[in-house]
Amino acid sequence: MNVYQAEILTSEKLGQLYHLLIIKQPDIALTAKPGQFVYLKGGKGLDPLLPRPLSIHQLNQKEGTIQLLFQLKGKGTIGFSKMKTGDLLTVLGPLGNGFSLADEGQNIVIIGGGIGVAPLLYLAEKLQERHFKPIIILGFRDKENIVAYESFSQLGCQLIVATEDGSFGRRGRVTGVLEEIISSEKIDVIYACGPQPMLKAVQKVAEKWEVENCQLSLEARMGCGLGACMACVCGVRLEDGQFGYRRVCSEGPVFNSREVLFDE
Amino acid sequence: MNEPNLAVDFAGIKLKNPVLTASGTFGFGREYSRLWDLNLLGGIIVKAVTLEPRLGNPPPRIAETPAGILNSIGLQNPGVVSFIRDYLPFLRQYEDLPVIVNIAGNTIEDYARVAEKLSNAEGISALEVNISCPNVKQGGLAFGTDPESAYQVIEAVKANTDLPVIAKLSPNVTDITEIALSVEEAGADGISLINTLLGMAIDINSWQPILSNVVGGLSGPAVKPIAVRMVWQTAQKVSIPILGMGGIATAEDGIEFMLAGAKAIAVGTANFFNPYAAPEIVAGLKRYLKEKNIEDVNQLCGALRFTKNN
Repeated sequence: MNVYQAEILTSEKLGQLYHLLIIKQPDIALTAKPGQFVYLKGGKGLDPLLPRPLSIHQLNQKEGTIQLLFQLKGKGTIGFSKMKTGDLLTVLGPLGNGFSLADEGQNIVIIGGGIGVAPLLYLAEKLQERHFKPIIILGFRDKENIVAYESFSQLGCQLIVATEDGSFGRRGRVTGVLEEIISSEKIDVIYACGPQPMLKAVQKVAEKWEVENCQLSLEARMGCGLGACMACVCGVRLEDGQFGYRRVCSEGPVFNSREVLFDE
Repeated sequence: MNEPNLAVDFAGIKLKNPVLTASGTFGFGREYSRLWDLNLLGGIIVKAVTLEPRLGNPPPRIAETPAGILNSIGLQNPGVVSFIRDYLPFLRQYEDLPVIVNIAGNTIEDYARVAEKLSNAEGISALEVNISCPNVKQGGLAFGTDPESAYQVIEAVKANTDLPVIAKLSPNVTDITEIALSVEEAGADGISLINTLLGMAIDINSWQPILSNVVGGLSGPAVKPIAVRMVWQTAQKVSIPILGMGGIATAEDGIEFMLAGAKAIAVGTANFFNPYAAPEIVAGLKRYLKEKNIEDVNQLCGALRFTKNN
């Protein structure tokens, strides 16, 4: 982990909502684990002031490049999307704990909702490399909101897409699909990233079907990105059963669903 | 020209340079030590420590504003006993790093007891008394906005420690010098200026405040002019040294504070958007002194010049 200046190799608008940056940073590309993120700032401007956490979508160790997929949400992300090939970004990373990979022979479901699909591509690739056959469920509001479908479909895993309005793939929510799968075969590990209501629903399904290894990747407004400022915490049940807060940046962003207490 | 002198004596604490890290922005040092050698700092001011562990406020605890951030962490910390046992030993391995511990409490008795416990620990150079935290319901800001309460807290801390005591004041007052004079009279050995300014940000889509605590403390470059002004006003009135802070992101920012009357400076929010800010400021300060042919950094302190139109 360090601070680097990284050159933008590709800056590509993906529909109205999303953007993809490919940056060159071999140190991070060599060491980053699935589920880790980078803390990214463009230029030395004071507004926006803070870097933005972006998860690692995919990386290429041979080329030393990292793909960052994000949704255009505010000043920070819109600013990144306006940067051009050849521009430099300041990158702190890789940060966070990342997903812990499943044990041999385990059955895996990967669930992503909206831009929450971003960190799951690199995870799915890593799992495939280790001969797992994860089932991937991706959920979006509608057809227009779909992102990274091509990349996921090229993996050759079983891929189920659900849209809330049924304009593409299955109609409904990802957790409905998840429950269908769990009720017909034993699932050992769930990996999930997406909006909080989706993660809460996944948490419930995991609890109901007693999937102990359910890993949720959380999002939070961050300060330092390193674990020093205590700004990005989420509520958790601590080992002793007490309520406490953990830092999403340094103790997460991936947490076991049993410890996360949303809305507290 | 010889290398300029960067060392300062701040309230009896020997600092090899005048650049510290501000409380709450630098944890207990461990996170940033993964990036650079903490010995580069003049000193470290660690996150506020209270008598008992504190959970802090519910999230969201941070909101970005133009050139600034609002925070409402709420003093989450492991408590003084755990700090001494689990965090202080790490800092002790840096032989040339004065450790200043920020302390907070709900009652005057809390402050006194934390001060006492820290005074018996090895490896602490001074206490910074936080009478200015805007994010806790009891204590904090309430002590820092009333000269009499501020006096009582500092007096109680002084009675329970032999360490130098620095009072960290709140800018959320009508006249900062009134509080400054009061803590000086109570025996404070130095003053830290400024803590955060009370602020608020609203999400216009949900019509809700962004922070769960509704209000929070504003810091970052946005507050710098206010901090410089308060340092200057206070320097006119007190004879104890001032540790200037509030939006310092570059050596140039720090020099402004020193010219206004600060003997040393602290880097806070800048750590978040540039993790190397503090060592870069040390290097920049040295470069500035060389360029201007100034032999000693102490020559900057309060050296503000006025023209006939001032």
